[in-house]
Amino acid sequence: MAMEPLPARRPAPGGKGAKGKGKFSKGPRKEGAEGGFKKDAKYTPRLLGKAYFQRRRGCPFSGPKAQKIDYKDVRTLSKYLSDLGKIMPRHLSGVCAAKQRELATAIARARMLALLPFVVKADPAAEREQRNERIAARAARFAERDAQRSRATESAE
Amino acid sequence: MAFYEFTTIIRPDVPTTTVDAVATKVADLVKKHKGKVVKTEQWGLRTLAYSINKHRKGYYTLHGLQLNDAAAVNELEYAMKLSDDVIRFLTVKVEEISKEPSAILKAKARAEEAEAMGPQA
Repeated sequence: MAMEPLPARRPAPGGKGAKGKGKFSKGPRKEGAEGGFKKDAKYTPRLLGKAYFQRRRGCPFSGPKAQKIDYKDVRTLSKYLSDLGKIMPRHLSGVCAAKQRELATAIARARMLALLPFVVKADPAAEREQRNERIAARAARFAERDAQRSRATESAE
Repeated sequence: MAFYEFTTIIRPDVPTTTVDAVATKVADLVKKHKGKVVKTEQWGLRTLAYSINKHRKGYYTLHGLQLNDAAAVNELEYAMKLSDDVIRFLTVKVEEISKEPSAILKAKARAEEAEAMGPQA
């Protein structure tokens, strides 16, 4: 009897709620949990989980033991380049503004000396191969679906 | 008095003595201006990240210089500009010249070490 009024208050309980909202999904709500946030043992650790502890690290070039930015250090600089050879934006790399400027200068110098590329052309052969793989995978999926359908019709007959 | 890092790239299709010849030329010019060559690094024949004057490789040399006036830098750059063997050069003013080998040489040593170990089983 206690379960009866629940679906009326929370529409479509089997829909969105059951699928979960990623890592923040609370699961089915308990009776006592109504009236907003309740600190129960199951809830708190999840909230403090990955998202909380994976705060971004500080700037890799700041601090007392930080690495120096050097235009000759191709290995380090290339970490801050995208696949196409562009400089990575700061909000992705976490480098602070002052060091990002330094980094940009260092990359410019390395490019001048042909230690780093200005542009990396996407590999056309690899791209073609990837596309073929995608097409093959899709074909396999379709074939499987067709097979399933034909099996279903057979069993119906 | 200031320190400079002066890197030159020499075209790959010249005899190896040219590399030394350019290095001596740099040293002479530095001497003329009463400067000092603090260190010289040969990075050897490296593959360029992009082709320069249709060359895909080049001999790199890094000179650590101590110079007294900007005129020396100007003359050095002018000489490199005129040289047919030097396909690229870069002058960078630095606080100090590090005594250690540069990141390029360290990476090279690492690569050679890995090669000496042979292919990993």
